[in-house]
Amino acid sequence: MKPLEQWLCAATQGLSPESAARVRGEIQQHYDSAVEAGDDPITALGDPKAANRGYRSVLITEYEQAMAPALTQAKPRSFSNLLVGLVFLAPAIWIQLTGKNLTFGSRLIALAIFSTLPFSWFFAGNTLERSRLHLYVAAVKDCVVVGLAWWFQGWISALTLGAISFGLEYALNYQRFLFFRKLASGQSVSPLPGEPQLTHNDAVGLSNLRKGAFRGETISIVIIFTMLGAGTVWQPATCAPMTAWMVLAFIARRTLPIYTEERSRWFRIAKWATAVVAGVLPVLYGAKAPWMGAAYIAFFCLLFDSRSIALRRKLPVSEWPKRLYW
Amino acid sequence: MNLRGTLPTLILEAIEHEPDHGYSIAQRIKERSKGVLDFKEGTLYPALHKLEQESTVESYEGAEKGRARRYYRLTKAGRTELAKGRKEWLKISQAVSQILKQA
Repeated sequence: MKPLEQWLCAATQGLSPESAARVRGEIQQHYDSAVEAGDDPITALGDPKAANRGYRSVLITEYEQAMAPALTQAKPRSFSNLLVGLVFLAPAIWIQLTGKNLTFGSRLIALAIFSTLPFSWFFAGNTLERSRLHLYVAAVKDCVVVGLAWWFQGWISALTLGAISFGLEYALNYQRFLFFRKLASGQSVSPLPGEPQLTHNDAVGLSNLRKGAFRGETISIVIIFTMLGAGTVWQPATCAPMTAWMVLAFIARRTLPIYTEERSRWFRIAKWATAVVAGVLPVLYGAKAPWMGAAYIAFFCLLFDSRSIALRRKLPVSEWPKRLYW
Repeated sequence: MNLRGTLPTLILEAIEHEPDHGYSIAQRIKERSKGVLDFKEGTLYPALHKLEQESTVESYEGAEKGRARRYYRLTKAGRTELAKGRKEWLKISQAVSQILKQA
């Protein structure tokens, strides 16, 4: 491979095809001019990884291209997304209603944390202006959460909640705002090569399944297992069955030969059956907050499996990517 | 010398009087600093795209010696930004000079 091609490969890594073509065009022009002037163009261009970091912050990336249909859809949230949100909220509401020892401050903080959910559900952040508004609303909410935590629980709680809230806002709202700012500068996103019977969200899901493990998913797996580990130490009776189920499912799908339609079906039946057992166990032996495990298992199943179920129904087995067998 | 943080202002300065293309902007900055300010040219284009997103520069397709080129020119917002950048740099350089003179 020629030095320029090597430089371009590294500099355009992770960019969408349109962005990569733009970079290739401008760097080729630059290279030709430098050669004509008798310079050493590759040395002058410098580290391609540094250039790649710069390009990713201003040009549409592959990941943003895959997410574009979901980010730009006009309707706010689908019913299934609302359901996933409610399953996630259920334990929080349950604790609010039954937690006799909860202080007034804790209730206020929890209320502030979830106060903007209806806004995100019913007001889609699908344009630059709307995503900017989401960013402002989230920033105000985070400041209120941190202020309440500092007032009622002290600075350690305020710092912890602040780090989590602002980190999430950066990952969700700020990244979305950056995407729309890139679009507003005249960049375009080509539609994903999707099968006609698939919806936009199906196409995004399929694209992610075909890509294999991506960075965002690896991070979320690490976060989920860290949370489960902490939960098992904190409340072993409540969280241990859920943790054991998640770990077993994680190991089984990576080690067992399940990659035929029949075996895959049995694997999924076993997965759901053991999920039910793991959800019911804490109730049987009277653990504290017994439904928490069941609620979280249902949440993860809905979050990860709902799209796969739709794709399995719509795609012939011959077109299933490996991860659809799980 | 490291140009971190000052590159956008230097780019705006380089195209203040006439539109120019990427390679020429890079050479102009190097020449005008008599080779003191050296930077990796691969970082020039992300900086140009960022300025374009901020609407301080705009680009258009042109040609030079029969070859297609993308030219960048300053916008009204870019002129305001350049004036602001100059003022800030003057303030910083005066403060640093003052400290170094004292030393």
